[in-house]
This record gives sequence, structure tokens and C-alpha cells, in this order.
Amino acid sequence: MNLYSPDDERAIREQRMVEDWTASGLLTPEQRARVAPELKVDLRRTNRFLRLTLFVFAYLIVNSLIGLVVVTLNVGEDAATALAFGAAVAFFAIAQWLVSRYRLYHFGIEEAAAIASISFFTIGSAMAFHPTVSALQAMIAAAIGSFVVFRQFGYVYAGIAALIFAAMVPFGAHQADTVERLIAMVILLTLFFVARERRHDHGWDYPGDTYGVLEAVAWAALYFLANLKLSSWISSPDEVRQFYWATYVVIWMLPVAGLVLAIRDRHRVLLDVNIALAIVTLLSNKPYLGQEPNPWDPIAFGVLLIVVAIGVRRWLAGGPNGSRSGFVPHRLLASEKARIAMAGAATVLAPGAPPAHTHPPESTFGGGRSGGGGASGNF
Amino acid sequence: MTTLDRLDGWKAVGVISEEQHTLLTALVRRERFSVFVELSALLYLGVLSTVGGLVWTFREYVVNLGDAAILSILTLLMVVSFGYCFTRTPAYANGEVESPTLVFDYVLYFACLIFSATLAFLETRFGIFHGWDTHLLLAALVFGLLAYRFDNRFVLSLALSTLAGYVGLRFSAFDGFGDDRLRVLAILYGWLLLGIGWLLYRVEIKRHFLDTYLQLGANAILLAATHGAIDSHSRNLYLAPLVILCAAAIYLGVRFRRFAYVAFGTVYGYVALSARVLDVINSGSPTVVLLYFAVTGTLVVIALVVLARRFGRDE
Repeated sequence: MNLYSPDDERAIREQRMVEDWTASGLLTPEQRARVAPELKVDLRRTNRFLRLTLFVFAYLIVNSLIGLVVVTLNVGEDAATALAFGAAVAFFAIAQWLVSRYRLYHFGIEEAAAIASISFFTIGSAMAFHPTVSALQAMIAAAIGSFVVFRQFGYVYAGIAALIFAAMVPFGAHQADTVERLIAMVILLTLFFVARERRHDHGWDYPGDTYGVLEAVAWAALYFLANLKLSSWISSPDEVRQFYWATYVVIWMLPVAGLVLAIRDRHRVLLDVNIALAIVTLLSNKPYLGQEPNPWDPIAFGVLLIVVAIGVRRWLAGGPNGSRSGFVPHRLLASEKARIAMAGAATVLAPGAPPAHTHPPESTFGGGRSGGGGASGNF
Repeated sequence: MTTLDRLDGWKAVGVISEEQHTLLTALVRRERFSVFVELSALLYLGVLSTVGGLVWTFREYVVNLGDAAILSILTLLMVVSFGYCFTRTPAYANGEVESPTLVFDYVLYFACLIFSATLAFLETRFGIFHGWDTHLLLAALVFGLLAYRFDNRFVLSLALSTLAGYVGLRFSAFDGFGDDRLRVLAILYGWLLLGIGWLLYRVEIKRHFLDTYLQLGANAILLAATHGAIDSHSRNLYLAPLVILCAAAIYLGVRFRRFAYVAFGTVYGYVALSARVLDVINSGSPTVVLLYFAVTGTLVVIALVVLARRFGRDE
């Protein structure tokens, strides 16, 4: 049961839409002013930067306080387990109290308390009834704790964490890697369909949008486990030949199926996830087949991406009124432009930025420092 | 009440017109669905990958291909892509200018990367610049001019990161400020960016670029000063200006409603001050350290809550 009413959640999302529509010229400032009172909610909110800073400092306080108790009382192992469970309950209650008493909404402080309750519940569960620490118990507790926080406070990231921890549970069972992966994939597939079903129930309004994100994340996690080259660091794959080649087929099938579903449902997050998965599949192909990469592979890959982008744009623009079944290649909203601008500014930190001021090596063809251009370093 | 119900209600009371209702309903129902961002991402990745592949191929096959062939290919690619940009671009304007086509920005980016690769090739093979400094400065200037001419943030970022390379900085890792020389360079670089950004803003040239300068400049200065206040032999020389700068970042962030700078000022200032205070206390007792974090963290949270309630409500 979410602490916030669905009407409040919808109103908050509608406020954002109205801002975007106004910035895009689809509504006039006067129209915005007329609808704004209708969308007001009785919740205390803040902007994302203060929210993040408040979260960091509140989390620091929470952990310092518990650390102080541990150090001051010099608690033993059993007492530490009890303390962790006690802290989990206390901070969960504090988070609820902050929301009900002060009407905080994604304010950072109550989030830090809620997340701390998951951490302490996980720590306590990992230590309970176990001589050292149980990874299996920790994963189960983290999944349950994250799910409860997701249900109670509606934090999408808690839902994502619940999903990922649930998929990690089999890896704590000390079975063969193939068995662990198969069980985890079944769990993720089940969660994918549950989230999908819930999204269909609600459409794109809250909480359908939240379930849409979980649906896409479950799909991405399913792919991640299926791709043995990508996820070998989680668990070393067995030498089961049939499984290896089955996963090779699966990593080609998942992006295709995902793209079909995303286009049919007009599911933005699923679409973006599956474009990324398709790119990862192309990059994983040679490692899967055991082939050596060629220097010109990135050229072929890059040209393919460019050709696909230009081809899709031309095809969509060539349709009636510049669209095909409602899909358009141009931007519709100001928020899309803002995302591109943000990406443009962020590329200053992208790989390829200049290395430190050092003398170029003596080799005849290496050691450039050109900025951000892929030409830096060893030309 | 769903969003569609709201739109129906707004139409019924005459807040929005029939045409607006039709358009907004189509957007909410996703009957109109833009793939602009996805196509842009594919083009960006495609350009990066292609240029990376060209550089790799030329490096591997420089002996087989020969300098003339490589230079010819690079020159041809540069001429064609710059030619495309200069023939398709709208007239220059000081304000924000929309790209004429979706691919335009990425052709320009491709041209700039190829230009950079060409300079690097000339330097590594023929040493015509007698060192990397001239090459980097030239590239930074050209990218900067092109970014303004074509109103392109990707190229502006390229210019700023190349300029950082010229002054000998590295932003890809936080261990880049290992000595005082680098820290001072980073601080000077940050002030240079702030100065350029502010000057161009004042003369109303591409004012929308200001944020890129401010974000990068402020972080370069604060990060280097924080590093110096923790690691350097002359810590106090860094700490005093850092505290003033953090206070200024918070004040100006609140005044101009740019809350990212409030966060920067708070976090950098807290990290540097805490490191120094804990260093001075030097008790070795975890109780003191934990107590310090609990008390000072609470003070920061109270201050931020007051700030958030008074100024930072909009999301």
C-alpha cells in the first residue's frame, strides 16, 4: 500500500507534462497558469540536486548513528544482528513518520531512512542463524526489503533493486552456474510478465509508468544473464556446450522480440533498452564465436548504426504527414531537446578526453593527446 | 482521475482548444511517438565508432597503406563532411539556432574528430608541430569556433576537453590532481572557462552555452581546491579560498535558482573541511569520528531543509 495517493502521484506527473508542453509551445503560459492550481498537491518536494545532497547527508547520519551505538556499546555478534533488525524497523518507521507527519515526497531524507532500513535488514538477515555471513539470506532479505519499500514509498529504484536482488538469489545457492542462471532467468521472466500485466492494467498513467520501467529492467537483466560474455564476472559459466550455444541464440532473439514488443506497445523505456541490447549483441558476436576482432570492425559497426539511423529517419519521414503509425523522426517536446543538450555537455567527460600532460612516447605512431576525439592517445 | 480525464475536463471548460486537446491526447496515448533521441544516440555512437575504427585501422596498416593514402582518405573525409556542414548551415546568429537536419550535428562532429585525427597523424608521422601543445591548442581553437558557428554542444565539449588537454589536465580520472602544478593548472583552467562563459554571455553570444562553461569550470576549480586542501603540503592555502568559493557557489546557486551549484558548494566544502577537522582532531577514536559525522551531517541537513523549503521547491 503506497503512502501517497494515486491522484497525488498522477498530479505530480501531470505537472511535469504541463511544464514540458508549455516549453514546447503546445500550451500557452496563460493556459499553464489556469491548470496549475488544479495540479497542486499537498506534499513537500524539492529539486533533484537538493534531494540528492539531502539523501547523501541523511544516509551519512544514519550510518554514523548506528556506528556510534556499535562502538560505544561494544556489541557482540548476536547483539549486532539484533541491532541491525532493530535499526531496520526503526528507520522504516522514521521514513513513514517523515512522510505522514511532514508530507515529504522524494525529499532525500525519508529516502535515506527507507534505504537504510533495507541495508540494516539485509545485514541482520545475512548474519542471523549463520556462523559467518550468508549471501543467500542477504539476497532474499534485500529483495524483500526493497520490494516493501517500493510498495510503501513508490521509489522506482527500490523496485529495480528488488528485481535484481530476486534474480541474484539463485547465485547464493551454490549450484552449478547453468542451473543458477536458468533459475534466475525464470525468475526474471516471471517478473517481466507480472510487471507487464500490471502495466497493461493501468495504461501509461501512474502506476503503469512505474511498472513499465520494471518490465524493461527485467528484460535487460534477463538478457544480461543470458549473455555469458557480459555476465561471466558474476558467475563463471560452465563448459556446457548446448547451454553456451542456446544463450548465443537467445542474445539474438531477445533484442528482436523486445523491439517488436516495444514498438507494438509504444514503450519508450523498453525500446531504448532493446536498442542498447541489440548493440551489445553485435559487440558480443565475435567473442561468442571465438573470433579475433579486426581493426575495421568498429568502422563496419559505426557505418551500420549510421545507416540504420538515417534509413529509419527517411522511412518515417516518407510516410503520410511525416510519420508512420504515429512514429515520427523529429522531436515533439522540449524535453527531448534538453536530453540531447545534456548529453552534448556530458560528452566533455566521455572516454577519449585528453590524458595527462606527458611527453609523447618515442614510438613512431603513438602518444597523441588530442581531446575527446577518439584520436587521443595512440593514433 | 487519469491524464486523459484531465484533458477532457480542460477542453470542456474551455482552457484548451479542440486542436490542442487532439494533439495532447495523441501524445498522452502515445499515438504520436518521437524517436528523435534514439536516432540521435545511434548517430553519435556510429560516428564515434567509425572514427575509432579508422584510427585503429590506419595505425595497424600504416606501413601497407602509406602516409599519402592515409592523408588522402582523412582529407577527403574532412572536406566532404565540412563541405556538407558549410553548404547546409543556416546563417550565423548570436541566439540559439536549430540544426537544419537530424544528421547535421553528427556530420559536424565526425568532421571535427577526423580533423583531430589528421592533426594527430601529422604530428606522429612528421612532427610538424614539434610537440603536442600546438596541435592541441589549434584543435581547441578550431573546435571552439565551429561550436559557435554551428551552435553545437558536442563540439563545444570537444573544444573544452581539448583545451584541458592543452593545459595538461585529465578529467577522466580523479587522480589527475596529484601535484600542486596540476591543481593550479586546473584552477586556472576553471577560471578561464568561467571567464569565457561569462564574457560571451554578457555580449549575448550563444547564451545557452553558459551552463556548460559554468558546470565544467566550477567543478575543475572546486575539485582541484578540495584535493589541495586534503593532500597538498600547503593545505591552508587551498582551504581558505575553497571555503569562500563554496559559500559563493551556494549563495549564487540560491540566488539564480541553479541548485546544482548549491550541491557542489555543500559537498566539496564539507569534504575538505571534514578532512581538515578530522586531521586536526587526530584522536584515532572511531567514536569521535562517528560523532563528528552525526553532528555535522545533521547541521548540514537542517540547513539544506531550510533552504529547500524556502527556495528549492520547484522540481
